[in-house]
Amino acid sequence: MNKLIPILFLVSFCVHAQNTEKIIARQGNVAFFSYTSVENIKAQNNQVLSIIDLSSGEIAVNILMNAFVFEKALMREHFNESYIESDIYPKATFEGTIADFDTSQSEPHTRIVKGTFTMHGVSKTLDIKTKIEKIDGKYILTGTFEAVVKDYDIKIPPLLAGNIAKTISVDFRFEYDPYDS
Amino acid sequence: MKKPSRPSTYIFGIALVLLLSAIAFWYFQKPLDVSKATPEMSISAENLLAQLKDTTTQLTVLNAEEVVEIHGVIKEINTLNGRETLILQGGADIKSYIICDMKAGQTETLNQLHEKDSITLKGIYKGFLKDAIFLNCVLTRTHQP
Repeated sequence: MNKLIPILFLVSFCVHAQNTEKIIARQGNVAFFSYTSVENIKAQNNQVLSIIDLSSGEIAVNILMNAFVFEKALMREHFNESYIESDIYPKATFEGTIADFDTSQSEPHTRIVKGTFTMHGVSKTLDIKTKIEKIDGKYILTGTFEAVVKDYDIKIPPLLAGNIAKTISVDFRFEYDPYDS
Repeated sequence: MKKPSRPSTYIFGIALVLLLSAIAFWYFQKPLDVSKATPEMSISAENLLAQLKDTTTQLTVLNAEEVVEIHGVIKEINTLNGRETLILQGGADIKSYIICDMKAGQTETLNQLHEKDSITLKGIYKGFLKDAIFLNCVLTRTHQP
């Protein structure tokens, strides 16, 4: 029995060490879509940063707004210069917590990620339904949420109002690696 | 008898053609060709990241949308999100990297590269999160051992 105590201690330490680990996605994918009868606009950013603290379930996301890639140069120009004003607000951020996050669960499952999304200088609380998978030891988070353009103080000129949807659909996919500080 | 055209009609016509041409040019303009662009600076990955991480120099070293030539050692080549990405090492004490989203059409060249190869590339700087982000990157030189 005495021999078992150090082994149990080691196992418990290893489990604790694993749980306090952070994981990082340096090439997260965030895509948004605007569908209207006049024009469909989609853009992708493949260099989104996200970090998760496995012990607390806290998650942070950082997006460079000028790194979104559009089909047409003009769309990109309008997005950065007129709508998002990426020179003034270069980043969008999300800080939140994965509800009931359980690192022992290996099967794909869905959790609510609740947090604050800040874009264009405006912060909104969001509840995002997120699929969590663990493939080959790597966490993969995917999901979709909707952002109402008006909520983020983004002004669309009346002439272009028909080209931009009032609600933008946002898809994300983050593939995490161990965090090397 | 034919009524003589008024000068204002010609002016209006010319203005309309000019306006439509400007709109067409603006709408169909191609993004900057990085391979032909002259870089704002030529710098090593290690040096650039050291300056971007230093709070006293990070705001002045580089502006977003500038074309930069970087020399560095390949840490990783991946195709995550369906994009060809080259990641350059930052140096022994720097846990940040240069992430280069490659311009299309370089698959053959990228297939010949390996981790730890020394290369030079050009790309458009987008900003710094935990790593420096570059888009539309093109390889300019490889220095394989």
